[in-house]
Amino acid sequence: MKKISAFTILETTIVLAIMSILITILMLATNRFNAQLKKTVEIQQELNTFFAFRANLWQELYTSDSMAYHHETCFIYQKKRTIAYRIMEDKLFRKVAKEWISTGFYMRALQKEIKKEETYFRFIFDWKGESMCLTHLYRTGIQQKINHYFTEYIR
Amino acid sequence: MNWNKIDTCMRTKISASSIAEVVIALSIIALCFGIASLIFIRSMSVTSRFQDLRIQTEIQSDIFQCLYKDLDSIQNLTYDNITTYHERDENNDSLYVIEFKTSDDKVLWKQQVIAYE
Repeated sequence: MKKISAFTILETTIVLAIMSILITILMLATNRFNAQLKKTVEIQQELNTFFAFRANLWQELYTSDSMAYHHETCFIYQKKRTIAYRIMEDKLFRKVAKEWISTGFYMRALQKEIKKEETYFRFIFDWKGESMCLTHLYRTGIQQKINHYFTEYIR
Repeated sequence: MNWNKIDTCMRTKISASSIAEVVIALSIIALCFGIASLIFIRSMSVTSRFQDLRIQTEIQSDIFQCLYKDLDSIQNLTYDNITTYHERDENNDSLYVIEFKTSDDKVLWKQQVIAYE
C-alpha cells in the first residue's frame, strides 16, 4: 500500500484539539437527536391510537341502527348494544356498559345538526390547537321510520 | 530552553495511515452521516402528519356522505392543496380508485368505489 504524507506533532496537536471540539459538538447533537427520536416515537404512538379510535368510531357509526342526541350525549344504537359518547372535562368519554371511560382525546363539541332536512352528527375534536371535524350523515332506515311512525302517530 | 530541539521535534513526521485506511474511515463516516440524516428527515416529517390526519378525517366524512347521498358525487370532491386522481382499478373493471394526494405526492387517502358509469 502507498503511504500518504504525515502530519507534524504540532499539526497533530491542532487536529486533536479540533477533533475534541467536534466530538463535543457531535455528542451534544446526538443527545438532541435522541430526544427528537423519543418525541417521534411518542407522536407515532399518539397517531396510531387516534387511527384505531377513528376506525372504531366509523365502524360504530356505519353499523348503527339509529342515533340520537340528548342531554349532551350522543347515543349510537346497535343491534345488541348502545354506545354513548359525551364530553366531560374537555375530553371525550365513551360508555358501553355502566362506566364512562375516557378516550383521552380533547373535544370541542358534540353536535347534532339538521341541514336541508338531513341530520348530521358532528364530532369536533381539539386537534393540536385546531378543530378537526368528523361528520356523520345520519339517515334513518325503513325500520326506524316505521317505529317512529307507530310511536308518534299510533297511540 | 533549546528552541531548535523543540522545533525539530514538532516538525518530526509521524507515520500516516495508508490510502486504503483513509478511504475506509471516510466511507464509514459518510455512512453514519447518511443514516443519521435519513432518520432526522423522517422524524421531522412526522410532525406534518398531524395536519394530514385532520384533512384525512374531513375526506373520510365527505366520502361517507357521498356513499349515503350520491356515490357519483365522490368524483367532485376537491380540497385546497390536495390533488385528486381517478383511475380504473387494475384488477377489477367495475371499480374505480380515487387517490387524494398532497403537494409532495404523499397519499392521504385511497378509496375504491363502484364505477360511476
